Amino acid sequence: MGVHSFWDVVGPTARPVRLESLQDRKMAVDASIWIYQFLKAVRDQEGNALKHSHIVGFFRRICKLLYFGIKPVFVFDGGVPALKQDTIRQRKERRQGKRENAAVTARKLLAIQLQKQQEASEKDLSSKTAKKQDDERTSAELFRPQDEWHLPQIPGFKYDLDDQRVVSASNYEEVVNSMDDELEGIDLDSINPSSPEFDELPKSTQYMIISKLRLRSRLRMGYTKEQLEHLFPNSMDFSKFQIDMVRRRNFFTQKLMNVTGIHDGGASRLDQEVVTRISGQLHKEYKLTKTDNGWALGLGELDGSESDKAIVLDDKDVETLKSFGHKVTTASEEEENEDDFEWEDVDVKPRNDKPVEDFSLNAARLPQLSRESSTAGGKSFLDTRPSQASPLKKSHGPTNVIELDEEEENDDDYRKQIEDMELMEALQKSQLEERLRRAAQESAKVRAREANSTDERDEDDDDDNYLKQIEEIETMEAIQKSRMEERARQEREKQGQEKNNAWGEAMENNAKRLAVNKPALPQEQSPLPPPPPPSTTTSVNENLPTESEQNLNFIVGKIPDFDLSNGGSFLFQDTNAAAKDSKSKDEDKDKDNDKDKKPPAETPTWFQNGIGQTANPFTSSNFVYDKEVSEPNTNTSTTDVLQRVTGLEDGKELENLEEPEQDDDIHEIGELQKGNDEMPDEERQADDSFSSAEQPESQGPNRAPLVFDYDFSEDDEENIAENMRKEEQEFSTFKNVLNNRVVDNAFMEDELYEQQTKDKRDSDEVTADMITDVQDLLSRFGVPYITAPMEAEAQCATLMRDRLVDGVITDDSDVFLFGGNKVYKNMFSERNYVEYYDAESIYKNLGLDRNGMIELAQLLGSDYTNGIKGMGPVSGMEVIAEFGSLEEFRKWHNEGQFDKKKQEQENKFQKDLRRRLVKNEVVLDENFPSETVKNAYLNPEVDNDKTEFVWGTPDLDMLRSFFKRKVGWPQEKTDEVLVPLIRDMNKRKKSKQSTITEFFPREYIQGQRNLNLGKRLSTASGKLKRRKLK
Amino acid sequence: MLEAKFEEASLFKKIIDGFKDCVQLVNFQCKEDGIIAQAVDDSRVLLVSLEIGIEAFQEYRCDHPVTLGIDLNSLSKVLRCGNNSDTLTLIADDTPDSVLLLFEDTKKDRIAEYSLKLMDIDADFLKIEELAYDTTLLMPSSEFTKIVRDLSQFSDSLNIMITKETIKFVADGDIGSGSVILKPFVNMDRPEESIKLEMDQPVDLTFGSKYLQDIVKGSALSEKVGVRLSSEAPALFQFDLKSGYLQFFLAPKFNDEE
Repeated sequence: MGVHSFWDVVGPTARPVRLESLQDRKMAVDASIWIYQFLKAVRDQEGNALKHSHIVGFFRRICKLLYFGIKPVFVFDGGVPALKQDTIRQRKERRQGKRENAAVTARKLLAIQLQKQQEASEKDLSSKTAKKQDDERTSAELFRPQDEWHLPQIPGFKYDLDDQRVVSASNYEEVVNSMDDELEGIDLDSINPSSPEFDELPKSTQYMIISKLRLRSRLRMGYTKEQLEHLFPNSMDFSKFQIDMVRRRNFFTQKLMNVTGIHDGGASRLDQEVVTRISGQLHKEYKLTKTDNGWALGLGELDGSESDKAIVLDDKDVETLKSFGHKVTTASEEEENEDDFEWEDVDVKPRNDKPVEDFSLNAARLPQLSRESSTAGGKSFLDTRPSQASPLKKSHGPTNVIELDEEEENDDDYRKQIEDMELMEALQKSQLEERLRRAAQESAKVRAREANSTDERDEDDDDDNYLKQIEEIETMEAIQKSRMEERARQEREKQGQEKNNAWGEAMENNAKRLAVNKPALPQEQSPLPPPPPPSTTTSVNENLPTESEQNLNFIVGKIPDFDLSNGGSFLFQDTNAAAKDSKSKDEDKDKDNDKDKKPPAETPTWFQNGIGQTANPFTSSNFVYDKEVSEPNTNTSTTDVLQRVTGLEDGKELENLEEPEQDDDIHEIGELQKGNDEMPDEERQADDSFSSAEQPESQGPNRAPLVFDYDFSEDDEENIAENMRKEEQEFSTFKNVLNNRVVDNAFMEDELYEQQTKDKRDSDEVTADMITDVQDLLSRFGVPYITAPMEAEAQCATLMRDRLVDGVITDDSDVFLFGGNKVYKNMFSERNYVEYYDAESIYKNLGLDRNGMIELAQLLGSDYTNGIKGMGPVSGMEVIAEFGSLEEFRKWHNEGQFDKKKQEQENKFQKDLRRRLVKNEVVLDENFPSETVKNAYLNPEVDNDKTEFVWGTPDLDMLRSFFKRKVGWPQEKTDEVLVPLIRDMNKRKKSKQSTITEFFPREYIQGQRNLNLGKRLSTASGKLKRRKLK
Repeated sequence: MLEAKFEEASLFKKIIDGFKDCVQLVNFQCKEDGIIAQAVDDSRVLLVSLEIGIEAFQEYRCDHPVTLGIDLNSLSKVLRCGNNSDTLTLIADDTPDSVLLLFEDTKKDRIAEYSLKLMDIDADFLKIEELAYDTTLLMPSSEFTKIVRDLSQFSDSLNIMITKETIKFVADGDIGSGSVILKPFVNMDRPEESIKLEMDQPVDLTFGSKYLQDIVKGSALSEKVGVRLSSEAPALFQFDLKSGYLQFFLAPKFNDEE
């Protein structure tokens, strides 16, 4: 801009001038530079140009000018003179180059992003079945364009504030901090270090937790030998447990190493690292296959085709193994389940519950022992409830354990009943009938009947089991949530107990079975309070066909009270928000509560739940499963039950262990090949179908409607699949969002990002729209503006020459070369002063007149000429002073270039100069002092119209609307500045203060002022001045 | 070499106090025939011109013209160090970096010496031409001070209207208005209280109150203030010294609507 380094030359001649003294001065303002400045300088944190920077910037500057009573005339650039076009082209080339760079950078970033996505999607793909792979693929494809589209806005992703899956940064920080603080109170056993949430904890916290867990995993969980013997009457069980613990310990160790950075794993890589490691150890997935003798555990693909070892295993083992392996395994259904599960966790929606690996100690099979650790709900809560302060603590709920323990302690009948209950939940309607049968066998209790019915079903139909498993998964999530709630409600237990008792009584009265149940249940003594399920009411209402109606009605009647209390007491707002979840939870709670506190009430509640399960059948089923685990007296369906139990435990404690269950389901399905195969994938629908499927077998009067549902669901298989697909997509989009976030974070830290920001800044251009905006603004301010035919600064100089203005406000040093004078520079960088340059002062101090400046420009380079390489402001001045003119300079240079004799005669300066010129390979041809350039400065194309400018007054209303429309400022914000400004202007206008200098001719006293010129510069200027005097 | 000795330091103090509030950086040009200074305030509305003739000094000697660029704030600090009755001598060499201020107590042998660093001050120097004024008014400076101070409370501008027989000061502001009317008269007993008016043309001029308030600070220098007004020129307010004067040139306000 302007002559290179020219301001350095004339800088010392600048005088500070108070802005007040410029009152009523007419000033030509070179505004073309302004927009450029605003574009360059005003940036947000990410380096993006602020959208209205030019408007706001102009507004501020106009206000400043007007405040000091200056009468500005804005001059905009018109065309570009031919000479300047070279320079412009060079500038543009550079700018385009920059833009390419920006594009390249963006491409790099995109590549990184895609790569990450690729990795993620690969993981997903490997973990999902072929069917889901398709979904995944589509989702990945969907993501790509999205990503590309969003690239410019990369540093953030949009999400609904209501979206519970997404934790805002601040929220997240809060959560993490609070977790950090509350670490002491956390039930370490319930923490699953493999969960993604865990990875987001502060490293220090991770380390603490993992190291503790690792230590604990070594200590037999702190149990004595006797206790362990008691817990594991079967040595096989114990060895399995030990194996499991070893695995966990190994995992912890690896995790620990990762956390401590031994493996150089960043937070983002942690997951992958762990996975690979595990995979490396396991090589393959553990498979559980049902054989004639029992269950076979195999290493290999999940087909179930291989059954090398036929080991009788608990479902738990299988599940845990699978859970460990699922990430590792390639294309196993389990993995699919996992993904789904994660997804679900995040969503809080009851989907196919697919448990993520749960490496929490609770996940290990110590269901009985877990009583002691009565912490809060399942891990899945973490995911589902971002708002929770410390989800981890609550995540692994031992509540299930508690129940189990209780069950174990209780009579076998009780256990059976529980099991039955579970089954019944799954079977829902059919269960009722079965319960009746059971009751006849073991006890007269209603529960017994249900349990019996369930057992029968198990025996009868694998399908039922399958259904149950599905239900279990769902219920597990629900149970976890419900447990959380229950804890919160415990305080209210007392109050609730009364109600519950009444409730239970009522239930009994209502239901014949209930009455029977009461005597049997007293054994159970659970601390958990029975929360009345508000959600159940709805589901119950819908589902309850016949017998349970009375109960349901009763419950419903009471529900409102509970709802209110629950709503208040709920620790988690999320529960309220997610009606479905809460419903299921409530149901679960009810069940749990009933069992724990009110044995008599339980059965009825179960019953109702089971009836109402159409909506949320899982809840009850989970509970049952837990109990089943503890039960030694498994019925014919023991295996199934056990499996379920393990699944339940895992799911409850950790995140839902869908995988194992589903695996079981799959196996079962493969073997049984019943119509229920569809069920596993279709969780929600599965519920309905569940109940319906069960119904045919069970012969309860209640089930008729359910059956219908079931049929319907079966018919709508495709719909279900469709829904699943949708969920998948949802998930994948969500995942993409997450991925984006990760990538974004990487951006922020990445140098590439900074580079991009910088490049973006350099490549932004002044657009015609901006100029139009600004001119619109000016006209509303009543400020005149003109568009120069060519260069704005040349026009300013002309206005100055024509005395249309009293000064020029510009930062472009070209203005002097165009004959400008009285130049005010840096008008807006200081509050009260402005740098004032005038040609007389420059001439007096430096000996530079306009021609001298133009010659200097040809040495230094300017918009019109490239100058001479290696020529700085001081040496340029020296050259002019030494030779007097560029012609002389060229002559000297060319004549002496090959003439040694002449060179020897040269003085020291000339010798030095020549050396420098040679070094820079300077060639001075005949065109050197370019007449074209000189002409361009001396006779610029300008508008010579001598019409006086007229200033208006700012139109407040117009300005208000302008800023509202363009910048979005409310009227108050505009008025804030404008109203006082206009008032001031009006006052000033009323009586204009004249200045003393209007009356007296001025004579500038130089005094003895020593300009702060450098030694060489002052020497040169002295020489130049003397030369001029000649 | 400059040696300028005031018989009383208070004189120089009054001079400086008279205009230190409207200008800060002043070049004092010391010549053989005395010291002159000129300064324009930041808004370039008020011009201060000072001339101290040789007679105003007890002793004065200036071999070479010397310019003393002085920050008046610093100078007044130094001046406060001396007693009013002390003699004050300004001493500077031909190319001074600083000026020496010497306070000598005439009654006891107390000598205080202060050195003040000088500055390079850029300033416009205005050639003050002898202007033809429409009206010349001579009035007691105390009276003028009181009027200005009273009426300045009403408005930021003060209107001075002079007709043949009356001098009218008017201020019209938001809170109200005020006016003071004077008539020329001659007090034979106390001539300093006389108001003398010479009028060629009636004038009606408006001035910024804040500038007038700066001007009246010079009234300590003289019992009388001379006001010369012209409708098309800056007003001149002059306080005479024993030799020399302190002049204020004030640019009037013009009504735009006219």
